[in-house]
Amino acid sequence: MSEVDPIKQAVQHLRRLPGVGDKTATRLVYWMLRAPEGTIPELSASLLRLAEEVRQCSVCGDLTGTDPCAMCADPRRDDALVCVVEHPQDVLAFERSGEFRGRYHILHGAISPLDGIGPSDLNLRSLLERLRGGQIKEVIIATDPDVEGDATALYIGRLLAGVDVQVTRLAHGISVGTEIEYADAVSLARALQNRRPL
Amino acid sequence: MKLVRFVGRGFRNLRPFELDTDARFVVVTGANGQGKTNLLEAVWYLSTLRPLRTHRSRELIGWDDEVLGLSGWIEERGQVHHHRLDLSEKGPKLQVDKAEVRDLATWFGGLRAIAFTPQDGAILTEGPQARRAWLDRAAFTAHPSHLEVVRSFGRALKQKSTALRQGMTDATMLDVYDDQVAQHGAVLAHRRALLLEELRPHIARQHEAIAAGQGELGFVYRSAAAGRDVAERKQTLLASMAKARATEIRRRMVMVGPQKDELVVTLDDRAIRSFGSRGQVRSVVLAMKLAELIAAHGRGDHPLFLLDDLSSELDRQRTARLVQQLDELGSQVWVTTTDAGHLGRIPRDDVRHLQVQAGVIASVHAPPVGVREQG
Ligand SMILES: Nc1ncnc2c1ncn2[C@@H]1O[C@H](COP(=O)(O)OP(=O)(O)OP(=O)(O)O)[C@@H](O)[C@H]1O
Ligand SMILES: [Mg+2]
Ligand SMILES: [Zn+2]
Repeated sequence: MSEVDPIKQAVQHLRRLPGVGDKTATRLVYWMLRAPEGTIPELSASLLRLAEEVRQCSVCGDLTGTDPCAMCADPRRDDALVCVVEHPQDVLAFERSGEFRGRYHILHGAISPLDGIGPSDLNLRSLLERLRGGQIKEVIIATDPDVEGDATALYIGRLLAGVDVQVTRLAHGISVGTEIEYADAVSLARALQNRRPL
Repeated sequence: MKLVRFVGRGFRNLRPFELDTDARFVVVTGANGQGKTNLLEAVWYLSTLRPLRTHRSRELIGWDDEVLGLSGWIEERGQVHHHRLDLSEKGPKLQVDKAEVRDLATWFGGLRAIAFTPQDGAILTEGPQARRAWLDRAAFTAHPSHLEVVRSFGRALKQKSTALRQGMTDATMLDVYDDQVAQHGAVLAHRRALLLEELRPHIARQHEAIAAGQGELGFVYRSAAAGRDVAERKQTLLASMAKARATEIRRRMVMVGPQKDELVVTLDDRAIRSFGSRGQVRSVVLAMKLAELIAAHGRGDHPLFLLDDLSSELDRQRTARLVQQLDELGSQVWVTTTDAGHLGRIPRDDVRHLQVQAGVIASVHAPPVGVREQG
């Protein structure tokens, strides 16, 4: 076993979380050490479950504890519409807008050679599989309105050129450079309503 | 638009300052190396978020300071808006009227400026990049949304060149990047061309006034994206990209696009870059900057005009004419000089005199001697 101090080790790990610096990590560790008995084991157990139970939904690619995920299993959603997004968080943004009743497909990223991400690194194959089912009438591409999101949209558009399905792109009602995740509900709803053929 | 109050700290060698600058002319005097240009640069930075003389904003933070803070109160059409900028190692923080700025357009819409400095001759004497940068800077001053065009084009180009460098051969993917670079490139080239057309007559007239008889000026924007409109320019680009595809794949680099465009400036049909004298170059650049200002006025916009070290640029007669012209245009003008006597007659009722010594800026009520003699 390593002789690294447990407090230091925990701080090191927490520091890697987004938005957490040295100070915050240290504060969190001391908070946990002083928290009621059971806090740390329960927290560890819940984190462990993330690693053991969460996986990608075999249909849409969303992160889920059950396969298919609750969204894919929901019979009330419209099978004819699929909204393609970059990240699982984007699904939450669309759900907040309350405007969309179809289904989702999560790519887990956007094409970006600068970040070493090519088409084969995205969850695209299962999208083609879903389309083969024949129920989907429209694919709405809702990747971020930046250069990488646009490249991804154009690529998918070309990929689906031979498939009998309408492909639309979210209208840039969202100010350029805004990630979908941070777009407010109103502008997302507007962008959905004004979507255009790609 | 007018910067009526200017407060700052931690900016280069300047000591913390609080200035009432509510005047049409702000004249900054002081000996060499005292901080005159630094003050002008502070105004420029507040406007553009870019340093005037370096590429790294960090270098603006005073050597003994951790943070730089600038606050400007900008008056336009009877309203005053407060722009505040804090720059630390972590990066800049921007506020307009106490609200954090999330969309840069809000910031850039507030305070616009055009600067003329002794280093600006480089626009004409250095490589094509310098002239493209001027065109984009001028287009940005005219329409702040141009920044987004430049950025999107640059990003798309970088993605494409990275893809090629990594040895990508996937035709669909390369088509996508050609499409993106062509689209953003066509918009970029078209905006540059439109701006040049807008400025061209003004540049000619200004040049004639500043340097009568020095020859006939020519400005030609040579673009890989030729065409009458964006759609045509995009088609031109797509066509040459298609031809270059095999070569691009083989050489693993981008071969075509407006990233290599050139703005050719000639004096009597000779490239000024190779043949222009120092004085000729300066006159042309000054004409270009004044043209920007005049074109802005034509649009009902009144950016600040920042003149650094004017005395070294022009003789007395031309300086006097320039000052008079600026007075007529009605923009707020900031001038730095080692000797206010160089400036000739400045409208005395609407001027603030600032004196800089070792970074300390003082408001002086009596105009420095040179000016009084002139008046
Ligand atoms: N980041 C910085 N921190 C502190 N001092 C700086 C910094 N950057 C530059 N300086 C100092 O600022 C001074 C230059 O000021 P500036 O260029 O404004 O002079 P000036 O008054 O315009 O002189 P001139 O008449 O020669 O153009 C130099 O002494 C330089 O060392
Ligand atoms: Mg100077
Ligand atoms: Zn699912």
